[in-house]
Amino acid sequence: MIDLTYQTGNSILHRTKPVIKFLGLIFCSVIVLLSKNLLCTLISVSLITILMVFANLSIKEVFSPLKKFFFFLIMIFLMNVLFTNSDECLYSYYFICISEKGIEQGYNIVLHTLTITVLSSVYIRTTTSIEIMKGIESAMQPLRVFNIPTKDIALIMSIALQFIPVFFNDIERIKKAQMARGANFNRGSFLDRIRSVIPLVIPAFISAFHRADELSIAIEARGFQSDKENT
Amino acid sequence: MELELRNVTVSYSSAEKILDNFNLEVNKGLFFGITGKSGSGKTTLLETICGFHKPEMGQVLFNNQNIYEGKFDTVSFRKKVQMVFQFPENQFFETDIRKEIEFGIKNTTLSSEDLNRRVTETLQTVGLNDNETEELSPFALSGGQKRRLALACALVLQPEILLLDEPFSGLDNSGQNQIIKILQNIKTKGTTILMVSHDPNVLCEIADRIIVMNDGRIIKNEIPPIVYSDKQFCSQLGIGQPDTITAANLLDVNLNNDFTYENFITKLAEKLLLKNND
Repeated sequence: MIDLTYQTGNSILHRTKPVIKFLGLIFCSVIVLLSKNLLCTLISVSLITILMVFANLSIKEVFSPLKKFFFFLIMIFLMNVLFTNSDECLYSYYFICISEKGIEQGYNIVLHTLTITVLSSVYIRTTTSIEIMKGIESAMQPLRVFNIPTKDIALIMSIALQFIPVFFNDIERIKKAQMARGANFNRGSFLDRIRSVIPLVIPAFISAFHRADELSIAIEARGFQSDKENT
Repeated sequence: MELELRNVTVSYSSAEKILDNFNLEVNKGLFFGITGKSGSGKTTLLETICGFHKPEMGQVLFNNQNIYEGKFDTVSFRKKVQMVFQFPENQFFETDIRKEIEFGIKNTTLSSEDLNRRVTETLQTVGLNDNETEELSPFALSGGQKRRLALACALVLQPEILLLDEPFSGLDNSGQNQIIKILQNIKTKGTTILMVSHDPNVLCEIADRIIVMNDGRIIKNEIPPIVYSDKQFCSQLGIGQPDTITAANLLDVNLNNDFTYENFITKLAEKLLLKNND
């Protein structure tokens, strides 16, 4: 189970204004994306350490919810290492070329993805859904001048963030149900394994669409109007 | 003993134990009703029996073999122990209901003729065997039909043990009655059933034993009359009493530990006749 929901606490990060946290998240993400190699490592390690102190979280608490994500990161790294085009190969075999450029690129992408994921997960875990919405809305306030529906965008983004763990839990539940019916996701050839994902993907999508449909009706039923200010 | 849980402890985080030193012996052919407050560990119990939660401590024994041991054949085990999850209609993905049912058995050694026969028999068991319905997409079925289809997906494997997690939730009265009839029919064929439900009327009607759970432990494992005749116990654990008991208490009718509607009507009629004769 991936635990990326709000966790009650009284850390500095919990008490920080939502708009500052949101702008901080965007700013740090941009800085991380613009840096490379050693500088990127330094910035990432520093940011994660500062966050751990400010959010009162241990290394285990920061990284354990992302355990399942590590497989995805390893895949990204391997894809970059094995398939990046380069004139200078350290080792080559048919179309595979392991080069310094590929290793460097894989390292940077993995570090960027990991750091931004950690930043976002700490943000979600220290900010309630209402605060997330308020933070995004306040940050986008200047865009109202151009008639951009900032309240709607804020609501959509906040719901999307909050529903990531719900979606993962849905997949976990469907996976169990299909395994109970005899599905096996870990056996057979590569093609069989791809095919075996169908019983997982279709119900997950249907469930997600149902949820979205029900949620939109519930939001309207509760009187949400994007053009009205909160009292 | 078909299934046994010995000192099983399961927890999602170190702080909270979902199943706490849990012991249960399940004899072949019996129908166990599992009830208790929300969060008492009922669903986790079924998932642990089905092999989805490795206990921190203790063993889950199926025919005297620990199902969580490395050598244990989980794939063939899951064909013998089938679980129908809560709101199982969310697992459908095939284009028609025959294919949906076939999904579970297409990897078995059955010939295509046997496979077809097995699917047809299962469709008959759950009452979805008319030609028009068979060609429908699972998503085009009504709520009750979807629930019966989910049951069929499990039954097609002819399991020795069937685990049901609140099979009646969200169903109307007729849908519920149809599922009860199917379960009574399966029970006569000797399948062991463990069913989680909050409905004391249904549990009293079809279960041989009632397991009452609270905080990951069994509080009571008894025949329905013993569990449901104790009003204070039922209200303390929030499991409710069957309507017949409530009505019998109000009308001062002695049911003699038989809480079926038929017995209630008979006893009530007897009492009224006696009163008239007096």
